[in-house]
Amino acid sequence: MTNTPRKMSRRDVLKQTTAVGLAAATSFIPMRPSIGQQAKVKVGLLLPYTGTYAALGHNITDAMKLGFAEAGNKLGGREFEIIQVDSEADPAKAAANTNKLIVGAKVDFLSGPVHSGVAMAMAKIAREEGTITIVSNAGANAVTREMCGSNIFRTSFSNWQVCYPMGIEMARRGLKRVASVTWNYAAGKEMIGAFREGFEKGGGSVTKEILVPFPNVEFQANLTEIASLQPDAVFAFFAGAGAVKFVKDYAEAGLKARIPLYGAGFLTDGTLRAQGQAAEGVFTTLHYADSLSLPANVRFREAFKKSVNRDADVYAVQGYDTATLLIRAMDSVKGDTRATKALVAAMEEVKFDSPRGPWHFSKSHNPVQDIYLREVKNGDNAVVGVAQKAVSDPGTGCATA
Amino acid sequence: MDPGAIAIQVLNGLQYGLLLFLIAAGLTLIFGILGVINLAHGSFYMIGAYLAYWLSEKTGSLALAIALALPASLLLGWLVERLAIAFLYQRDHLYQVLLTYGLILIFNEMQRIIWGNDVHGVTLPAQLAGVIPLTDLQSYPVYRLFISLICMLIAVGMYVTIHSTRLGMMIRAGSSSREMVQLLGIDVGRLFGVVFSAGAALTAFAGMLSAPINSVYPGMGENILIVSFVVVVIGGIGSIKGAFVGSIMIGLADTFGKVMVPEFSSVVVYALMAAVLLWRPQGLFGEK
Amino acid sequence: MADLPRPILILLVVAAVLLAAFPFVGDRFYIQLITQMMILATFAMSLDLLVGFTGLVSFGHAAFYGLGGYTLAILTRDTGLVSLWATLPITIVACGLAALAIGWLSIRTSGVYFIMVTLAFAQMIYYFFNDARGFGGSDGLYVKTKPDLAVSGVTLFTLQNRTALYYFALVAMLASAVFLWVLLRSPFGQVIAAMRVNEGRTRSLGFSLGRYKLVSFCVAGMLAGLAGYLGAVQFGFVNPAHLGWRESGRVLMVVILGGTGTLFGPALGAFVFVLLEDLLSNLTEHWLLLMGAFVVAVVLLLPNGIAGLLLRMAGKTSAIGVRATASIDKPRVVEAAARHGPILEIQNLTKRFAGLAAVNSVSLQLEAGKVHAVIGPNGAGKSTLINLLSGELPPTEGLIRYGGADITGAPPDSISRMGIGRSFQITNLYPSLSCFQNCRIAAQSRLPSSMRFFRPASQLVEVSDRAQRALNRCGLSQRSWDLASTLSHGDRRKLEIAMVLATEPDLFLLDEPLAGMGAHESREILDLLKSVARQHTLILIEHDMDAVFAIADSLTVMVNGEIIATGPVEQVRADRAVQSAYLGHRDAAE
Repeated sequence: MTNTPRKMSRRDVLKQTTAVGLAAATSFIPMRPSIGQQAKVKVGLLLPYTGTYAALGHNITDAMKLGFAEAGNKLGGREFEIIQVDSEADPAKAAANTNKLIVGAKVDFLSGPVHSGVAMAMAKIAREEGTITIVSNAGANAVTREMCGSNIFRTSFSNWQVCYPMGIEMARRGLKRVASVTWNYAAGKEMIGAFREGFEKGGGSVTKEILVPFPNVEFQANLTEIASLQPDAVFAFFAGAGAVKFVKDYAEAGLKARIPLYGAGFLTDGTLRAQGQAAEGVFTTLHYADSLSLPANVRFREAFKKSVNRDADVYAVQGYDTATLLIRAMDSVKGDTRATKALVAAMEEVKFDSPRGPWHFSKSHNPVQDIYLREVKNGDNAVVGVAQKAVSDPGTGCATA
Repeated sequence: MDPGAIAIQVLNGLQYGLLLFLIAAGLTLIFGILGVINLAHGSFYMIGAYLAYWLSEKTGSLALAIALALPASLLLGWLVERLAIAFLYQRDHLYQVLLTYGLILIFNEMQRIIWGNDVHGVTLPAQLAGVIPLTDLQSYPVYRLFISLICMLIAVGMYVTIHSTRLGMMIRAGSSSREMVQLLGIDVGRLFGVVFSAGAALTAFAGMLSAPINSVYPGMGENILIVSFVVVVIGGIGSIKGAFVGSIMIGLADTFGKVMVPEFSSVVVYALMAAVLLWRPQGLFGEK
Repeated sequence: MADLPRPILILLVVAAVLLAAFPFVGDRFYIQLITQMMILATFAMSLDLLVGFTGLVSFGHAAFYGLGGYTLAILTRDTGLVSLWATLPITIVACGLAALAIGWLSIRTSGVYFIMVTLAFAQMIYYFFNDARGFGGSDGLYVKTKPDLAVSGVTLFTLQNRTALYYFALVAMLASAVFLWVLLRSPFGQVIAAMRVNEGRTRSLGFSLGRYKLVSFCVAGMLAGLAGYLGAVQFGFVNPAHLGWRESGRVLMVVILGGTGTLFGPALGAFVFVLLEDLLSNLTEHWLLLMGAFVVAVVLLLPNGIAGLLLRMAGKTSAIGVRATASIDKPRVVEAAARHGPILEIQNLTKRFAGLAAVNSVSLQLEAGKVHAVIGPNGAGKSTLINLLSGELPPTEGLIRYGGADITGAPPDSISRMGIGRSFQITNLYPSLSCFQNCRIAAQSRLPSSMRFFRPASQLVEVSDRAQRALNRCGLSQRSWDLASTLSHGDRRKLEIAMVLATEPDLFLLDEPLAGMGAHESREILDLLKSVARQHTLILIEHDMDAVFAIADSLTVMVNGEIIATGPVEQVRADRAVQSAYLGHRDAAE
């Protein structure tokens, strides 16, 4: 069978037990004997397959597999295998899990994660070990700033990149006083920090930055606070369950009619069905929208729906682009995974014709991409325009930037 | 904050507290009468929410969904008690913690296998979906007022049951001394079964009620579990009155904490518990 | 651990040797995995000290583990300290101080409240690191540089090196195990062992339990900090999640699965747990289901954890006693002094329970060197009176003077230290300890301080001798090494008295010592009490009238919480009121 993605096989499980067995071990079985001629290329995925973010993990993975399948399931002419480790979006286990892939399974490429905390641990170890790592979701600014590395790439976005354009846009619309609200964790703070930067640049002022303890979804108290502040508008960042709840509660509290709601795209991505009427009219910025009419997007969405019977989302697109990156890079070095320098050089040059639109890497290995302005209309994120073209994360503190 | 905002925050705090009461009441009874620390209590909350979501999708009506889910929760509670909890009565707290922790893992995984990993919303019945304008800027959802009302009715109902019925008498006696109840010839097995299922059903009901306003998502049981333990400990183990007072206290403290000290709002709840315990180590209404 | 069965000792030694040899043949990945296991083993053993040996179930132990890691991360980030000499002691001291603060506040509670208070404090620390600025928030902090060890300018090794860290973790784990073992054999260890088996009795013997619990809590916190330090070094990264309740729960699971109260159990449990998590997560996506099933199975089938299983396989049931060896110390012996005037004075002593006066305005004066019996129908308040005298209950009103000093309302431990010993109506022993150990802990309570950590308790020869003498006097020398739980009822009552004897008090409070004994045994005990009474004062509650009249010098009769007669035996016996209320009519007339 070619390229069946698998988790660690029973054979490895048995090997581990014997090797570590305290009382019995008399001989230590060396790890993974190489298989005669060319061994398979190993692609390691550190993504959440259980927990609140599991849907994201699955979408990224399935889109990657789709991308590989479309290229004939070969990387640079070689067969490959995908080794998946469940990150559980748990930063406490991140280091151990990363080691499982890099040191244990000796993967040639590492990709993931969803959660920024996991990304921080992963990035540190990847930098030290030198494994080529592609961050396929986590938006922590540091990954392509202080923690950047020649072997670290990101195919998703940086938190700053998604929200800065909204700040500019809202100032352009003449809004003067805005309250921002998000969870009190690093990603949230980066998002509203970027918004503030853009908004203040455009002449606006942020009345208050409301921080909700993470991962609370009980917002009543904060909504009352917003009402008493009486801002011109509200900018919010939440994702997943929190996004669903916030938008619904915001509408129910009667605030939406008087105080328009804006947000980062995650507020309305993958959540519209659950949010229903409450989300209508909410403006967001994101580097993607389901309804983009680009041919690449239409093709991708059809193929994804056909292969897994689910609708694609921004996470799937990121996974798909990751696969594209690997395919192109490996093609250019003809499958030689040891030619790290050449691989990196090839990756830096890749120009993506992605479902999100054309993009390429910045010097700090972050996507340079258009950020779209979307409005929720009839249960869909309709693209109203481009909030800002070719946005590039400044990459402050990155040696290669 | 102006008086209007304060008033609404009080309303918010009360509503949260009343919902917490349903969960804490069940927990304190199970704790007080069965003497079992049940970490899986939050799982019933999650199961209630998922049942409400699933059945309301199937039947199209939330009310019908709840009507079906309630007996299902009672039955599930009974089964869990007979098949798992019954082994713990003679064991010490350590083993109860361990076994019920194992149950959490099992319940969570089964939920994922059955219903998957996505986040779901539950639609409100039209009659309850409206809002009442309270100030010129803010309205208050009717459904939240409805929930508060239901919780109050249940609280009153519990009070009446505990103080005026034979079952309530057995519960009060069992709360004071389990051995005595056994010696009096009361079928302890049945009593425990009733109390556990009632506690589980109350918690599940809280999950059902809150499903439309919270989302339904994997792992939602754990967050509420810790808070409900805090409430029970503050109020005193085995005391329904304590659970009531504790829930309202926590509801208000949490709500005002979020607004007044947002950086440390999470600490407020725990600091409150530590303070109460240092002043009265057995909780506000607990027995020494 | 000298009492571990040989097969297990051999197993542990072999394991240690294998661990030491592993890096020479093992793969890089496994070196790291086993380092993880060893760090978790250290962490688990520190919790076992609390849970298994002191009887304190803490649900917030991960706070100290996380604090250890964060201290290192902050030190390397803000001070540039890199040396092991500096960073490790600072970390351990920091964790010790935190444990002192938290422990001091938490020890006031007990049982499930203690569990919740420790959880609360751990959560507060968690949220502090999670929400406050400057500590990296929920994404955590990096450990900028890993510590190294330098002696006079020469760097011996750096923990950046994987193998060096492995050996350091191995040494840390073994050193912690040895340290705990020494601690548990010391007099301090004996007290906390007794405390775990029967807290009430230990307090009534005169030990101020709070202090012992606090010391235990601090030691456990410091060892956990050591483990956290190593954990942070290993991955170069700390995160608030390491402080959270899930991690606390996880290490508690490891301790319980390994087997509480064994030290080697939790260490083994750590290895098994990490291995299991690793293997199961590779088998299936729904591995948590298997994990949950495993946990449930262990609870139902292996109540004493892995260690229990191993011990059973090695043919052991439970701990045995340790024999006394050469003498080193002489404890201070309390001398019985001749006293003038009443040894015990009670004035208007009253105890009310919500409106019911169990003891109502009782006044009494008792002479030294005599046997005073207190009799009366059930419910007269006799036991309550004893409880008031021994400090188990605080009086509502009134005054108690002992040897002239006011002891009203004093707690049981200070009353015990003043030289008042009591036995209990319902046997109150240490069932899982041997008779000898029961008496020894009682004798040890007379030491000026049991806060001695490094010499084994078995070396306190005077203490051991006194325990053995007490046993011999009560006719239990044949049963010295038997567990108290295996004794017959009569022998248990004898042990109850032997324990009081071992504390060598001046005043004995004996609550129905002959309860449930047959005629032969009663006589034996009566003879014993008579010989004791020659040099001490006895207050005796009894229902056995023959015994009372055989031994008592004076008699007090209580009815409904009040004294209706008191004085020399014959006088009280002839009192009409007493006869009609209690003794019944002996003469044909009246």
